[in-house]
Amino acid sequence: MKAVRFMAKTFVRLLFLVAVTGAFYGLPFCWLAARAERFLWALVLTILLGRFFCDALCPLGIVQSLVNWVFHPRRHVRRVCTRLPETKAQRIVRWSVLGACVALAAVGCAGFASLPLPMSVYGKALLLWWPGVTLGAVVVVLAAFCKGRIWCNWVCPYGTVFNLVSRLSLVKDKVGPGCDNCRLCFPQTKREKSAGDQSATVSAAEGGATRRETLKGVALLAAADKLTDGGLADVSLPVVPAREAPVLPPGAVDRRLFSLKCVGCQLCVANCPGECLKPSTSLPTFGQPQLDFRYGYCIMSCVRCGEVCPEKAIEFLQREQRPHVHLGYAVWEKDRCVRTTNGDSCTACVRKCPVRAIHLVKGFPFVNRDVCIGCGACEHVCPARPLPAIHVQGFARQRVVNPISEADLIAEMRARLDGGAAVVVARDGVIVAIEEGEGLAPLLKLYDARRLAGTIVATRTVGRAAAAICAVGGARLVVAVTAGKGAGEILRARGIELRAAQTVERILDRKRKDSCPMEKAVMSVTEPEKMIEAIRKAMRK
Amino acid sequence: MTTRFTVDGRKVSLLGYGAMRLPTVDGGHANNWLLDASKRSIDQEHLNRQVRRLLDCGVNYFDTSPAYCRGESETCLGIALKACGRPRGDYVIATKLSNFAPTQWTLAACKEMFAKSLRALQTDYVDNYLLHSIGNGGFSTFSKRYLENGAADWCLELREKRLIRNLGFSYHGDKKAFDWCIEHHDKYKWDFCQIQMNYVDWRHAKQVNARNVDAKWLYETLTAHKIPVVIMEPLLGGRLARYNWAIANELAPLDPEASLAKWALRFCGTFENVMTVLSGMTFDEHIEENVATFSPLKPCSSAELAALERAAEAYLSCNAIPCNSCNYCMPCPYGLDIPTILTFRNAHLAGDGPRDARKILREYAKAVPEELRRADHCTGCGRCNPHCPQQIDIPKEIATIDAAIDVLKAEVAR
Repeated sequence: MKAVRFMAKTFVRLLFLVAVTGAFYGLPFCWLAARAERFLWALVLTILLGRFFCDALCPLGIVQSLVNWVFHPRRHVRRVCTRLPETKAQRIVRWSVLGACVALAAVGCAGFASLPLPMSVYGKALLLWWPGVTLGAVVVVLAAFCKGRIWCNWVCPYGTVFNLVSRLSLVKDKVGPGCDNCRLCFPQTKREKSAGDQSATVSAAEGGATRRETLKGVALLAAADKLTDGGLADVSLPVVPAREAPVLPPGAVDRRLFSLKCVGCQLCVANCPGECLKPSTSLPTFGQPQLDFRYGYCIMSCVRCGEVCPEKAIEFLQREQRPHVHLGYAVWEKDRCVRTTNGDSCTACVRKCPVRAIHLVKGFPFVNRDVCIGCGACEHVCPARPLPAIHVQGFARQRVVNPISEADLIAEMRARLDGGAAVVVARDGVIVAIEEGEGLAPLLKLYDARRLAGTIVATRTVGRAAAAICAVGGARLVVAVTAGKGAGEILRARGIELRAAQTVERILDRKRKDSCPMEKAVMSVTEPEKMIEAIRKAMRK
Repeated sequence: MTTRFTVDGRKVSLLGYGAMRLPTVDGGHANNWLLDASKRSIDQEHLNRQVRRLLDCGVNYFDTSPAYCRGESETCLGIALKACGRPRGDYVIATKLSNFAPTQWTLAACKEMFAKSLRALQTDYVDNYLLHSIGNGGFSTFSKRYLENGAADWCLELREKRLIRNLGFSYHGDKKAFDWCIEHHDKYKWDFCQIQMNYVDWRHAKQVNARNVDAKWLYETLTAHKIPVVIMEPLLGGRLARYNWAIANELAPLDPEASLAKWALRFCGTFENVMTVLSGMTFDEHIEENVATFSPLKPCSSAELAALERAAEAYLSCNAIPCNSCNYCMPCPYGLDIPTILTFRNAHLAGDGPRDARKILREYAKAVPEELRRADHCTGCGRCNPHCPQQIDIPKEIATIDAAIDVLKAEVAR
């Protein structure tokens, strides 16, 4: 029975350790294990099962148990125990740490206050260089040289709370008749020489820290004429601009609340697909994630950070909601812009903005702050060095801008068509692309860039050819001024709605004399995929 | 080795060596920027061996330019030709007046460029001298580069003084420049002309880009004026040599053992008015294979030409961006690695088939390892466009590629 219990426990421990570690390296679904750290959930578990969390789910605890086992393989060191005598010193240290954490958090230094929390230590040891690895090494060394889980019993604020709560638990640690009071579970001050190889275990904690990619950089080549071919201009990373307020991950909502809730575990940092979440280095928010646009920018449809956050410090947003959460706003500085400094016709920010919030007005970029979501794409691509000419200021409280209704959105898209656009594409309630040009080329370009999936596509004329492109591209709704007769059929076959102001028998070419050449090209083809091939062929001619 | 024409009384091999893609110490060619810039110097030792081997095989036409390989091509080729110890009469050197930058549009700058070429190539004269890529940037640029400053007339003087033996021009871009040269053939007596020719550009250049001119028309016009033709881009920067199912499907039934490169080179060699076919043979294997193709050249039969025509159509259906990695656009002032991005797009983003977003992004990170050199940092300044001999609208293509990458990123984030 004892052996079965031991094996089951070991299995759960290893499972959780692997799963939590996997979460830091982006393995799918592993963040579920990390979320087991949710404090309240753990508290309930503790009331039911005693210090079950510390024993089997806490990654830091499991690592300590492993280290214990490596260094003292022959001693049966009991798990963190609530019922054993503890010294006065231990009690004083434990409660002082907890008190200090609460006090620090109360004065707003939550990033610092969360340092001793297990997820924070574990995450930082895996992903942050010197502060994290040092912290991790301290835990491991303590566990190696002393017996038992020193960190859990002496430092961990969770441990202190759980210790208290577990006194109420239904399943109690079985101490009493079976205990011969060997005090092996009790940390000893006297150091014993360790048997195992220490470096092997230390490296286990350090392994992840090397993962941070090396920094690569760009500097603008002087505007001189190029004389020879080939070669690459030097590039350097920009300097991070001073922000009045940091830009926080989407779902962090309130800066002050976030700094209290976040333990700085680095899980969101490790999982950010845009590679823009980086730990803060300032003291009050040390280790907490902030957006740093040197390596990437916040992807508009991504909610990964909220998904993985074990503390719910970053709220898990609905994907449809995400584009309407504004993190901050972009600020453009004329003196730094390369349009001023070397008269270049740069349009990097205008091209990159995913919500088209930046327009060229009289030759300079102008930010529409009502639309700007603060994603930092403009800051990321700005070529000005050392400081980017456009940067994002964070909001103290993230704003959820009410998404406009679909009817209003379509009305706006129609207005854009009247204004001369050939194709307007909206996704998640936001216009994401406006293309100009003649014929099918703009639509085909969007299709080639795979930007039609799940979108509302508005275009002046939809014939069978355009319908095929929208159908294969995976549009959700097609809005048109004029629709050809066969278009609706093709779209309906794929479950796509068509809203057209008028329907005509056949679509004419530009001279309004003959049928549209693209319509002719797809006349005899029925399958949308094959129709696109036919369109390409016809366009080449 | 098949020979057809003579330059200054010397027979010229039908296969020529293009010194634009010289081997580098990292094992790639000088246009392959996979590694750190510091490691990308030309492998002189390797080049010396290659040049010796080429001369041994009878390849004696060497084409270079002051602009190639960051300006090192002429120097390295000069050293290699000197090192092989052959008399100057054994080989033919072609170099160009590559005065692309407006600061080089004065006659003095052109003269300086020619003098520099002679010094770099360690020779007293140049066999074939070319006005480089006329038509790039439009007729006005051509006029400013060669006509208004008197550079073209000065080249005639050079030929009289026998500092250059033959005068010709290489053509990309605006057709007006080509027409002008042909109209003034009586005055300039062009000894040869270098054009882009291969089985895709033969009849479909317009489909690749509406601003291009079919090679067939160029070749026939030149033949009518009895101007020998030097061929560049017979393999489209290697694009026609790389495995392509659509092409192989058409060609393999006729000759299952022949490589795609052999087919493309044989096509070019088939035409009688071709003086030499230039190939940028970076690797020793390229040299051996191409030498075998031309020793002697077996012209294509009419059935084979028909198959090549079908292959060209099949190739066009692949919808590739016509970038030949010639690197004329480089260096991009904002540090982008343009040819690598375009080549990556052709390899991984073209076509309509399903695709694995994670895999493509991994390939992207491998192709362009430095984030700051990727497509999203394009500013749209358009400085690259006038340099592109294929008339690609580079900022536009890069924007489309970046949009596609953004979609992939969003897919991964889901």
